[in-house]
Amino acid sequence: MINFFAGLFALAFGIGLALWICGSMLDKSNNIGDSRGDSKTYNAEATFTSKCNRMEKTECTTYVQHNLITNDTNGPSGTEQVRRLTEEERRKKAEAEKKANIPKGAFVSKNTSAEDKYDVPDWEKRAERYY
Amino acid sequence: MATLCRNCSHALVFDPVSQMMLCSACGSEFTPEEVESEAKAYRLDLRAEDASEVYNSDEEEFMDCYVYSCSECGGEIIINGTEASTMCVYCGNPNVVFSRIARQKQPEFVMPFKITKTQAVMLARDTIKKGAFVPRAIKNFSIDCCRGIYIPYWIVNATYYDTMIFEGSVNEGKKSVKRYFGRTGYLKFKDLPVDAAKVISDDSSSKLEPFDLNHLKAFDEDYLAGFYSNVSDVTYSDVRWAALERGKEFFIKAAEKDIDAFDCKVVDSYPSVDVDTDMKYAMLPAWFITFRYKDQPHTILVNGDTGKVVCALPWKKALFSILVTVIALTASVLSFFIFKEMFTSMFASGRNLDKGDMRIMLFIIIGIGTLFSTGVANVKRVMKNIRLTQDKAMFSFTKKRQG
Repeated sequence: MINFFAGLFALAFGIGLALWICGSMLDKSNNIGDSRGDSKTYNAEATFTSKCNRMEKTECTTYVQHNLITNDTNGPSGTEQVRRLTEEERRKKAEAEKKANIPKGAFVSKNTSAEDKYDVPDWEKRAERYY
Repeated sequence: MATLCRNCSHALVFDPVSQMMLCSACGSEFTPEEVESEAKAYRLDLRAEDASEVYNSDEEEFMDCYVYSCSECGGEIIINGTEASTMCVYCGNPNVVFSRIARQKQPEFVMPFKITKTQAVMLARDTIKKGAFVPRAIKNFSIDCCRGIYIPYWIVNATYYDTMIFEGSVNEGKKSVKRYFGRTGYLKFKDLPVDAAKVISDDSSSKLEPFDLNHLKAFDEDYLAGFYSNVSDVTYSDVRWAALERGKEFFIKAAEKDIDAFDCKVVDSYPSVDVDTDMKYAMLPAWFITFRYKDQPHTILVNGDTGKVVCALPWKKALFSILVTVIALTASVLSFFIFKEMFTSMFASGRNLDKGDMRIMLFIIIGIGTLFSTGVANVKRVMKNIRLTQDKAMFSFTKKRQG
């Protein structure tokens, strides 16, 4: 009996180990360049506005109902081909964003432009729009 | 229309080594910015004829195809609706037909090729040669064709929102129980390149990342001379979908790091993404090297800026099977004596198994399961990526180019 169980465990371990070693070797040998930009590459740091730990299954629905973010995107229709914005559209968009970011009742000086707070990377300044 | 050398009127091509426009006839070099040629003005008036009208045919091969005349030899150039630069099949001169496209659809940026064709092939061969399981026929592959293609990308800023429920195991007292974890939040990402050519799968093109955006230059058609290029043909929904997929991937990774549980998996998710419509349109360089192995088409991608090689290749199945068998047998025989010793001491003189013994048994079973699943997952990942390398659409995307 002991021999049977030892043999069974040994066989399973042997096959498992062989698959793990050979699978890793195969991945390294034949799967070339299988990586892409991660969250650090795109400064994508997650901010959690709500967390709940160790819930029971029944509590999940309540959690979702209380925390669901409904985000209305007023973007162009999905079937429209992507295109560059015109100067006019870009100016209007910047103005709208600026308005949306001003807290109600705040004093705004007259000579601030919409692009004031946007940190433009060097490569982007090479574009025609900054000439 | 080719950009001509101002000294000898031969067609100029962009040279990735010197980053200059090079004349192969007289050896003159010019920076793309200083070539203010008549060609650029000519391109604005460039008119194409519909191929189906020219040939008076409704055949599928002429659908969405346009006919131009080569500016050098007058030969016929046939391109499809998304191509922006090509070579003349008769004289081999580069022809850029970019300005037929509305200005708003022209890219803002271009990342010039830094890797030459010879370097790209050498990089691919060197990388493949290192593979222990790669068949010899693939290591010495003969190139079917090698094309330098500028892939259109939209560089996207977006905010991803999600409410996710995770299921994970935690220790409560001496037991391991399943519990649920909620995470709501957002993440903003900047300058994510989203491939804008429908024919190339996002899975393949995203592997060319990362691109160093500091190498981007203001768009100039002259960078396209000597290379092939495509224009964007994706919709807002395609871009949103791509941003959503990447956002989800980043969000899950961040949440898993934040949750104190093991075997975590997503059981419910309510994602949405807000993509900034002011996207930057750029052309990024890639070499497409195609070859055939056992009648199957294969395409190797090489990042034209960094030289990163992307492909997954079929493996020597016999060698793999022998290696698995040898390792499995050796490990089984060796571990048999260890397990036998262990079980003998556990079941010695008819004593019952205590909690410590049970824990050891559980640990061994979980360990074996993990080895199995990790090994199988690795093989599955290789197989999935092989299917991408063997993608017929990508092969014909490269192969169908004129020249």
